[in-house]
Amino acid sequence: MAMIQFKDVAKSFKDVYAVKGVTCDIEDQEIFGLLGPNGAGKTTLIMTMATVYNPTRGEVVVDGHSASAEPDKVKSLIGISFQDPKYDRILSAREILQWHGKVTGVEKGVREKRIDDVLTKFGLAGEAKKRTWMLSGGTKKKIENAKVFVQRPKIAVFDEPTAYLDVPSRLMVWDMIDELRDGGTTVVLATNMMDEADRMSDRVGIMSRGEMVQVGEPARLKGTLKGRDVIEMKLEAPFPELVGEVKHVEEVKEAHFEGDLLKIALSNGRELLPHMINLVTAKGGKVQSVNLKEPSLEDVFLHYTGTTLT
Amino acid sequence: MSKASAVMERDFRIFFADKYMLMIMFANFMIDLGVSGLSLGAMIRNLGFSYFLYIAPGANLITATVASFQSGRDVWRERVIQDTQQYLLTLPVRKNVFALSRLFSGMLRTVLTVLPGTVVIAVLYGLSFQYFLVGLGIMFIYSGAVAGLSVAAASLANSLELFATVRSTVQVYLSFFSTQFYPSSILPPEVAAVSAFNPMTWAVQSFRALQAGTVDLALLAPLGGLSAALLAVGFLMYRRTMNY
Repeated sequence: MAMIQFKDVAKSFKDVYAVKGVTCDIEDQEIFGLLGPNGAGKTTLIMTMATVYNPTRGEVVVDGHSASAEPDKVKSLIGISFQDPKYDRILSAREILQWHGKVTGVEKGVREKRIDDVLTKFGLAGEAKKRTWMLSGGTKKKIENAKVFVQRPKIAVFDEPTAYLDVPSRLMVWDMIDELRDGGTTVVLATNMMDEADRMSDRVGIMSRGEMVQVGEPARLKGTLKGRDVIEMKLEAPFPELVGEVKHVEEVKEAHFEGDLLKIALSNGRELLPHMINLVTAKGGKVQSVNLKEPSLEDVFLHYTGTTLT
Repeated sequence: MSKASAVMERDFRIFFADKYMLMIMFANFMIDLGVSGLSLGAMIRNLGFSYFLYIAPGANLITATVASFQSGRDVWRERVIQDTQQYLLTLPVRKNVFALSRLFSGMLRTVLTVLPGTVVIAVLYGLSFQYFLVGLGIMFIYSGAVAGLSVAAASLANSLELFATVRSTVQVYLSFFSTQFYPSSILPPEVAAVSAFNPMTWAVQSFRALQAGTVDLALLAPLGGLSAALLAVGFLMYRRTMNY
């Protein structure tokens, strides 16, 4: 059974619909990437699941409980790391984590151990007693993420979990999210970072203008963009006659030279790469380097929404 | 119950995050009592009673007003400045429990804040321990009125200017349209009429009655009624901000 079910969920603020009839299931213990530009409705959808917003239409069911009818049951299952840190900045990191753990029902001994572990992993042990308003943006973000790692809820929501973080910290957060999932947590990962979504997600849902326009595994979604591979071959010198030869290959959609760079748009680029190199070489082209560009998740997003991730 | 105590614990942690907070509030009370009370007491001698002792409870109630209004300030800051209200609403605490706990913690914080001042007044008035506890009870009930009012204001105000103005207006009303400084007999009749319906009047008069050895239920009953009403208003207004 799905852990989270969105059933024709819509939410309007006055007359403006932020979410327009989303239907989607999120499976138990999967990492579900929620993609979309700012204003796509990701946060509204999450807040509806978290019972903060009442849906204007439809229903969210979390682990068999209706978010509208049983909000207390649903809230006890969810932990959210917000995009912008949301805690009292007059308090220290340790106080914030202690209180979050306590109010979410983590037993004291376990709570203190988890806090120590998370603070150590994030390299924050020395700053745990400082008031958080004094800390850097990256450190504040780590503390926001740490709340969920201390809670270890059944459903963890991370909204842009690696924003403001340096590369080692990003990798650390990714590993910790993986560990969380391995421990039995279902993860919703709202992000604008395509590499993050691609690396982390079992499936992604693409939102645009309040609608869920596509859901699927990243590889499958990229595979839907047939004919979007591009082979770039740098030759010793321009060789315009090659364009006609290359275009005889059935899978090739388009080919042209840009200086001494032969660009070939085709489907099944990975499979056809050796053949294309052999073809060019056989016709007298002297290949210096080759680059294969396959569709990225960003291309998928662009294809299905007609917008860029900004 | 554990959820409610967790919510209140957070409020206490925030209020007393600065370890000098209690000391500063007590210092304010002592300055008010020492400078205003002693100097005015020395100037005003023809009332037939000690003016210093007359205005002493008012200084403590002003401290209580400031401490109680912090409940509204906390709510306002969460709604408007720190944007933490949505985080708080995702936590596994029922909204009603959450709202009530915030108000109750505001009252408890106030009692703790005015505890040293109440001890000073109890000593000045020569109160028994039982009457000292009644005095704390008066502070608790009074703080409910201010906490309820401040949370209601915080639930409506979307700018610091508006919230700060409401706070100033409430403090002016409580102090100057009451018998905190002057007996109703020497107030202008219109002001005296207004001051008869003021929680500060009921609270400060209740304190003065303790000095005379009386627990005046005729004052405590309306104070309790108004406090309950303002707490209900604060609760309902705050709850309304939680519905999206």
